[in-house]
Amino acid sequence: MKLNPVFKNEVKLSSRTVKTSWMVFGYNAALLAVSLTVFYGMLEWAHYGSSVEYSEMVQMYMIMGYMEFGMILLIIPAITSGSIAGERERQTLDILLATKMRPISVVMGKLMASLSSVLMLAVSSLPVLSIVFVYGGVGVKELLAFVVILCVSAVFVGSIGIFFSALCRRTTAATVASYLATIFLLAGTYLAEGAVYEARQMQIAASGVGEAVYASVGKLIYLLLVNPAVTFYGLISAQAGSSDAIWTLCLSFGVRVQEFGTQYWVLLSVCLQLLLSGLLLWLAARKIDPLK
Amino acid sequence: MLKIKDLCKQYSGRQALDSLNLEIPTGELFGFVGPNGAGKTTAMKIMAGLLRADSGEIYIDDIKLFEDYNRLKELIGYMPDFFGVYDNLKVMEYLEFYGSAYGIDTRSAQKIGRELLGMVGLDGREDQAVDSLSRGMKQRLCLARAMIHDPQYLILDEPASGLDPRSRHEFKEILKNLQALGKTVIISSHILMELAEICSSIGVIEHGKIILQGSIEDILSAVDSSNPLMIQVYAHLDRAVGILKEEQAVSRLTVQGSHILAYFEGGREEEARLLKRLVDQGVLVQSYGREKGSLESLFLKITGSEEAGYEAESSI
Repeated sequence: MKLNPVFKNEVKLSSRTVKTSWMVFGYNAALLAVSLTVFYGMLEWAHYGSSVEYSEMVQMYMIMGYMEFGMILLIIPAITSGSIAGERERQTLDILLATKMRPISVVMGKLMASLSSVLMLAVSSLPVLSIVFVYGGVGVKELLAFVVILCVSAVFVGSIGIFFSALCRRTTAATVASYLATIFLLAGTYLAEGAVYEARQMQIAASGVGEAVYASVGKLIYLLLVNPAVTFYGLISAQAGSSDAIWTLCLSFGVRVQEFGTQYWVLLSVCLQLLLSGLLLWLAARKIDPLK
Repeated sequence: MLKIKDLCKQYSGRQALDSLNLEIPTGELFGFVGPNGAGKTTAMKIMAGLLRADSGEIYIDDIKLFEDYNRLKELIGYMPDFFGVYDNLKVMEYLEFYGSAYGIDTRSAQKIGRELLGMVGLDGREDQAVDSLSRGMKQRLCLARAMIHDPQYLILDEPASGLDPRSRHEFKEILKNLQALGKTVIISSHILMELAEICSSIGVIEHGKIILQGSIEDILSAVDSSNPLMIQVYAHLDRAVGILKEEQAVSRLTVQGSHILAYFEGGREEEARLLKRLVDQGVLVQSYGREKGSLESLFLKITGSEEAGYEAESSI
């Protein structure tokens, strides 16, 4: 099988920089520090209760999961935002586009390279993550779903980084834009829902209709489908046994999402995020295509 | 034969290429000359498939290249006026990478790469890091990179800029070898005398148009024929001046010692007849001929801008 040349080259280049080793080390060190603290805290507590609670192990899995998710979302924009802009700064983009490689192949190679970094981090963290298997509580199926969602989030946020990398001439500008867009997706969408909900509540209170009418953000709730943190929350909460987490979240914005909606929320948001990723990558390829 | 027909390109209201027409025969070492902003790089980028022309067409042996960009990229190797190297790669890996970008497998790319490195004088440096190479070596590596897919046409944008005289000489030798191998090389440069030394023909571009094209000999003789006649007289200078003043084809005369500078409009035959007249009337002519032209003077004459003056100066 022929590997994408850009992907192959990127992997080769990144394996030679000490930055990659430090990234793996820092990632696992942070994960290990938190998980060991939680784990020993839990064991200490077990001394008093004389047993380790199953729910506590799940809680530990959730903490580690959130941590991995957070760190990957923090790393991905930094990796991808320099992908195309860096080629431009190095003056290698024109040379690359003068070859038979199509712009979309260049963009896909960059995405695959950033995804390989995520996979490397996820795989390297497996020994640390295996702490949760010591007393049981989480199965391989759950772990696989966790890695899939991690990868989808990485693809989505990575596509944003690559899009801005193609759009901005300088890596610095692309990095700032990528982080701002990621922050908007993670916090902005949530805060926007909250702001609209508050405004509607105040509107109702001002109109004096009374307590019988509830404020709701309505269809705007579906904006949260593009929020990778909500998707991750939905998955990990369901794995921890709280299958109505999304329903509760929507309710906090005054929306009673139908059971069908909450049941397939994670799947829907994964599909939507992958679709948006495709669109962003296509736009990035179009942007660098000299013949467009 | 590479044929460019009515190529037009406009950048934000400025006409970069204005119906550019050019014909470059196969196996030619063609020099593309023009002041900054004349449209050289734009034309070269269009030829390399890195820019879309607003209108016009490029043909290689009657194949319309704009209808098949894949074919264009197979036939053309492009080297821009910058290095564009990945510092963490080794020389052979660099060639392997670009080979794979042309769909060449690693083993074949290594084989071709070794041959190319030998050709550009970098043999034995396969495992050396690209960033440790000198400027001249990087330039030669970039040339090898542009040839990794064995293109018939090589487009080199200002390849000699920033090179020391020795590297420049080595680069020139490589280009001559490429021509001997049957490659068509299109090379742009501000160093006009160097182009004259290595190119078999040149095209002068200004304001996006080719204003002069031909072989170096033809162009230089065209320059010569527009230069004044230099006549050195051993005896009877006054008689010679009198004859020249009577000659209708002479528009202006300057006398300095025994030298006469006559602005004479006429071909080689008229020149010979004038000489015969001088000799027949007893003027002892010591030397007679047109003042020798150069590409520099031609360049200054036809572009006639401040920019041209700068280019000519910078090439000395």
